Amino acid sequence: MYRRRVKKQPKPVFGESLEDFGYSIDKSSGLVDSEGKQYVFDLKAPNRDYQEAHCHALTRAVRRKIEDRLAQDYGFVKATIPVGLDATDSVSPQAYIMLS
Amino acid sequence: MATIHCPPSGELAIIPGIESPEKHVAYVLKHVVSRAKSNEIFFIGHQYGCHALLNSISEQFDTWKDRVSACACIESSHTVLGYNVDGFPAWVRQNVVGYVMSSPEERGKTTYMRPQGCNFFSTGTIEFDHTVIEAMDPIFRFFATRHGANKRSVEPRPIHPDDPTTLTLEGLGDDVSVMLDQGFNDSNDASGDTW
Repeated sequence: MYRRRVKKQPKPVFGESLEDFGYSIDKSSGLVDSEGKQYVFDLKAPNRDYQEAHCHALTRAVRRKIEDRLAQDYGFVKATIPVGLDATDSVSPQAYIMLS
Repeated sequence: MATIHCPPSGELAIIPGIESPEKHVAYVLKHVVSRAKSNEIFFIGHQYGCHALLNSISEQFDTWKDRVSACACIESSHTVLGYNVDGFPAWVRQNVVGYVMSSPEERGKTTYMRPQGCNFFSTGTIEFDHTVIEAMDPIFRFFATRHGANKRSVEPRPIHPDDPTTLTLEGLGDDVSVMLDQGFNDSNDASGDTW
């Protein structure tokens, strides 16, 4: 019995910033493209894997934008948890929170 | 309260002591926020984060009951049922407000929800993602009413249009007059009642 071998598509690579995606934040805090059209996740997109990867990467870019604004506009700084972790330790499991 | 354990995936490393949303919030409250010198502490939570926040406050209730000025819970999934912490349900009623989706006509309406143990403010949007945006203005008006307030006071607060904890209380029937006349205290707890 033969089965067709499914060829895995290479993981798509996206940019880091909103500008790389062609999006920006408008005055009403909406995520819009260069034509002012609001972002919509296409549930019926033929390439769902790509659509989801694109959405996740875009979400990360939005999060970076929010963190940048918190830092620049309100003086927030990143703080690593667990508290007291050596700053040079990049191996131990860790996360960060934003503090002002 | 139950704690949900998040199983590690292949890409994520679990931080010891911070294995779940509840433990994460409890850790941050205990090790970071409690050391803040701020006299006024306000919390804004969203969805499951509200449960994690209130669960952590209940666990560290003696630390927080006189330090927190107010909590705003947006599209919250919290409840006060099942907690055996003296004074916690009454504290939630006095200091927590939920902000939820609603039809535009119901914008500004305040409704008491017994399982959640607090008043809920209708934001007037039927789009889930817009609740945060629509809730910001009423949340900060609510916080402004609590700025400088005596957090140790157990007296019922006077009715204030910007403080939803003092409003309402649709759906309670006769309980409304009880709460307004006698204030918010544990004798009026709804935890043993059916809804």
